[in-house]
Amino acid sequence: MLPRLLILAAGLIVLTLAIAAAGSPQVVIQTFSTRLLGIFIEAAPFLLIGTLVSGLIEAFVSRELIARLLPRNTFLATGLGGLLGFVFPVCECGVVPVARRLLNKGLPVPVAVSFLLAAPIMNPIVVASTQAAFGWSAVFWGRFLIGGLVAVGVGLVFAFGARPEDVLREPALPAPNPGLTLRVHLPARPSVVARLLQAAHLATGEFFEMGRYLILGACLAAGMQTLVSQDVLLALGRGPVVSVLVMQALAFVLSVCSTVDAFLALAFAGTFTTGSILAFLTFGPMVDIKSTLMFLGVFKRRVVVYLILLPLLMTLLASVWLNLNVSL
Amino acid sequence: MIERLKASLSELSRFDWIALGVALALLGAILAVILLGDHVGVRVLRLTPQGEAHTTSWITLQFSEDMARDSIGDSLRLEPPVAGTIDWSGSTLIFRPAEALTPGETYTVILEPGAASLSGRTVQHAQRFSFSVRRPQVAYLAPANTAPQNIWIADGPDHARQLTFSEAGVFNFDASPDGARIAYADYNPETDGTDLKLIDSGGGEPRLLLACPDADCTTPTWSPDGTRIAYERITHNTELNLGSSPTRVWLLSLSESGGGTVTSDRPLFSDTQIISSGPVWSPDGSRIAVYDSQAGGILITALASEDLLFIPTRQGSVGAFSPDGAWMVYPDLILAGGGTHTRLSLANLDTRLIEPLYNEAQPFDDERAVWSADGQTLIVARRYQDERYTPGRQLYRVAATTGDSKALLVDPAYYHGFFELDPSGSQIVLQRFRQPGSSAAGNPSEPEIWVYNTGDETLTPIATNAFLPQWVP
Repeated sequence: MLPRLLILAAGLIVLTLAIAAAGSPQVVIQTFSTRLLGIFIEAAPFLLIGTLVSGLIEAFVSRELIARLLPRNTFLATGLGGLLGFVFPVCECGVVPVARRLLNKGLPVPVAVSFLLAAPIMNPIVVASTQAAFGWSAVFWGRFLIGGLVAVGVGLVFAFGARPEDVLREPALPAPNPGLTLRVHLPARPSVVARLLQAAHLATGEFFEMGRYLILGACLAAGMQTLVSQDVLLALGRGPVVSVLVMQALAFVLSVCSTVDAFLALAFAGTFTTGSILAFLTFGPMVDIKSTLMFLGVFKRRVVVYLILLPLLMTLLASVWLNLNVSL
Repeated sequence: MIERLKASLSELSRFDWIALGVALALLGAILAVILLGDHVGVRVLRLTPQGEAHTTSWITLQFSEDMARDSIGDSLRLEPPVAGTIDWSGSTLIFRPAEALTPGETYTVILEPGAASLSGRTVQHAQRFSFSVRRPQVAYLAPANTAPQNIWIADGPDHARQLTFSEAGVFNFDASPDGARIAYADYNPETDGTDLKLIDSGGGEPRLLLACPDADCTTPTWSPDGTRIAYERITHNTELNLGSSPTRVWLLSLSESGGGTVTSDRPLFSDTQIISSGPVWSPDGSRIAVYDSQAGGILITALASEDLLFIPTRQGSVGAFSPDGAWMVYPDLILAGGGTHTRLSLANLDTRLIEPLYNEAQPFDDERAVWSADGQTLIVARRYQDERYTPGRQLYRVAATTGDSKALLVDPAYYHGFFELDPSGSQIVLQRFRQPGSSAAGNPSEPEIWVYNTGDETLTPIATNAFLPQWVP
């Protein structure tokens, strides 16, 4: 209890000092609320889409269907997970409830992790927006290549010994009997309308459940954006290694939706290394402040640490190697 | 403490060990990649000019990173050597040759390895590129005696082509400092205004630069860096029924590329009571001189500080900045010998002292004057009132320090009007009329355009029935 109180007290002191350093408290609060609303309003529709897709999966996709469609080979299945974003086109705000529902339906953890990390990048909307911003350039191809490799790579790490009960929190665990997860009473062979109603009902509940994490994540992201100046981050360095770290930090703090982040990255294209732009475009969609909070609704805490650490290191490795070895 | 750590470690599952092991391996790989070193270094993303350059072209190298500017040192050079200054715009190096590049010459730009960026990376591979310099062209308006008048561009005698095809006619124009584009004023009958347009000097479709409905936007004048255009604006106030406003100078800012995207458009002076015309840029682009008809003089404004300098003159036109920007030569009206004469004076813009380039006893009228490239002499349109009298003005070279003059182009059969030196200072493009009744062939009512070579003193005809000639570098 005492250490938690100490941490809380230290956090409050740091927050007070940060607000004092940032200028007038009134301006800080105004900036914070504007950014909070900006992040939430941008993310909420995608979360709604994600929960709707999740509800539809629950109502229309059976465990048997998933088992039948999924390759038996773990590597192949994990690789396929990286491409599921083209079937369920959701960004990082909507992918978490969908992944949780698929896990609940018995999707293997490595496949779900691969989908969770890849879907915000490997989906048609992001393909279109990245092409619009960067054309058919190295950045366009690099984003999907690195994004896919990292997502599948992390998924494969989970293929070695990650049992569902070790990594997942209760709501995400595969249901022993699919019928038990339903919260409405259904006839033996429900009609399409009844299934749609069930999907809407589930989506509503899930939207409010995951929405808590989104709001908390948006608060943290807005707080970071208000108190940690982008200019300070950008001024830290533009070398082949530091630039990648800076852009990864920026992607984590900004928590921009992956459907529009390519246009933001374009603004840095002239001044930052290509590798760091790719780090921004691959690490950001996989992990940012708000998605981290949402991960906590699905995975156990130390697993969330791995879900941050592994993509961070893999994108760092790929980006630094590109900066130092490939003339882009 | 150690016991607690041991307990924590014992709680780790096989998956935890695998995940942590992979993380450690990744860290090791990152470290190895960094230790193996940089095999790319700082790259040059863009080089200009490519292929063909103008005599006034700048050489630019855009690096992939912000550079440690002192590190460039001797690693950048041109063959054959060219003196000049280096400026920076972000990560782009801009080499401004001190003198015009030689037409017909092929230059090679060489960047040796070694220059470093602010992050410590270096240029690892030598960069080398070549370009050739084309001969300056002459742009002018034609025909002079009938509408519509359009811009023509000529490489030499019998090598002219029509550049614009305006149905209403081009009012006036200005070539960009690098010679790549021409801004011009074009009447728009649909809006009863005169718009500013832009066209590549090589040809192509014109682009609308600034729509000016119910206003005349004319006399575009490029800044020396090609990123801004000063122009004259008259607003007609048709809806308000107030009559047309006096002429005022406005300032357009273009996007960095100068490609025609207007980023701002504002009056030159925030004080709307200042009436101004005839904008002239200082060579460094930091000041603009205009004629203030209300105050009766030349007003020079510093764009950054908005400091003003006033030079009284009743002649009605702005003079010319010296190449170093320290002086301005300008015409003034004086009373001498019972008559009114136009004479030239020099204003020292640092000390704010006026030095007349004449004494009252001297029997001549001077009008337009342009500086030589070295700033030592002036080319002046002069008419003597003594035994050297000619009906029209003739061209003389006048020493800026002593006022001593030497005939440059004297032909009593002609009136010499508008003229301009090319960037190298070796050729003058000029507009002149035949004197009625002279023995020279041609129509006296039609202006002609000629090029005078100051080296071999030859005259080359460029166009007849044409006016307002200007060099396209």
